[in-house]
Amino acid sequence: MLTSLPTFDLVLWALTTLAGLFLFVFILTKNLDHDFPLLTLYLGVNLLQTLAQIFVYEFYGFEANVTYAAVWGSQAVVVLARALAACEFCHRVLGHYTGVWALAIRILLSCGAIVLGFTVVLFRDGFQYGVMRMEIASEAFIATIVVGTAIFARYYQAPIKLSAILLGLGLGLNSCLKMLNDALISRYWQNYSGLWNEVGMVAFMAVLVLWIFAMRAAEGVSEQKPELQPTEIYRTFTPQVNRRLAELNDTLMRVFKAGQPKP
Amino acid sequence: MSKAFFILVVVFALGLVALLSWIFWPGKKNRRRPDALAVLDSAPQHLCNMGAIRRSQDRADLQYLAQRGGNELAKRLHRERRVVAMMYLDSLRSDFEQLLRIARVVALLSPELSKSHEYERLRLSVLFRLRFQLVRARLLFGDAAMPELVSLGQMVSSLAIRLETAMETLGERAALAANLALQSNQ
Repeated sequence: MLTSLPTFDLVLWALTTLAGLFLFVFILTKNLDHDFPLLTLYLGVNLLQTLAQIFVYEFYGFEANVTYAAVWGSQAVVVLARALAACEFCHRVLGHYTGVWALAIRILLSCGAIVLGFTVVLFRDGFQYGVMRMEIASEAFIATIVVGTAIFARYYQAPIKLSAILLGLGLGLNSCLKMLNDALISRYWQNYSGLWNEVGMVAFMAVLVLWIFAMRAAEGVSEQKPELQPTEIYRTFTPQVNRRLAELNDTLMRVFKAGQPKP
Repeated sequence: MSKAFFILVVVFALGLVALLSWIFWPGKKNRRRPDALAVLDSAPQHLCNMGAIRRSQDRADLQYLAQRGGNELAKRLHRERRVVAMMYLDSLRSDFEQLLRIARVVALLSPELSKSHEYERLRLSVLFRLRFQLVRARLLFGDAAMPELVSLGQMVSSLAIRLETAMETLGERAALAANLALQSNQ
């Protein structure tokens, strides 16, 4: 059955599977699964999905209802695993800063939920594109929390390691490209259906390459939690700030009193 | 899929890609974080001029000018003072932004301290920006809008007080840590 697929598709599928397998094995051999447990889980689930797809295509063919349900059902699990990997990225970037994280995670999840809700509500083309709608909504959710985390990190000028940057880039680009790909096929089914698979696989291949570089950057770099500044700095820093703020308040109070209208 | 929704998805996805590239672009690294403590040198500098600005917008003063120097002079001065008030408004905003920068440095230096302050600061900064635009619009249309201007100043002050409290707590913790370190050395 699989041999009925175009050779180019088969080659691309083989290449992405090999790249995924390489990344998965690389993470396990370098013990990076302790640092990136959810990304490892996602890659594992992705490989399992490939195995399941091969099995289903071989035994049931491409047109069977079982194939449709199995492939899109497994896709839901894969997207869920990727959403968890995205949350892991958010925590890696902001999780050390307890106060910032407490604010960021609530805002990010709220924004993600709003985007997800809007997509589901606005995209009403019946059951024909129901699966596409759910996928676009999920990808929008993932992309929102990844980009939101990057915005938070930039706003607070929190240092981000190269591995986290590449991981975030990969997650964000993957979701955005999937959204674009799904939107194109939903709108231009007739002209685009032949390209949809190829575009998706090439994009995923590029993302896997980014993640391989990310894992190479993470290799051998121990996790360092940010520490408070030495006591001497606080001793110098705190009186300076307090003095400046006290002066500011005093001046402000004087100005308010002087500026009040006279009776 | 409808055309409008298709365009919405495409714009949203491309916008996110652009944002992601802009944030993670390697060229930005050089301009990042000159020195966390250097931010103190840019603490609020313009707030102290509020008294003069308030007096410059006094209606009685303008009426007095119109009586003594004529309407033309009063109008010209009113225009010029409005420009000055607008410039002052911008300076007030830069004061506020600088205070926010200090607060962000504090949040990063003392992660476990800033949990509740982050919410409050977010609320304060959103409120400040809204009021700022309101005051700006009123000034543009010729209204003196002094109560709002004072309210903006109060918000800057409020943030400063919160920062002071945060820094005091930070200082206490630092002193406690120093004592503990001394005791352990002994």
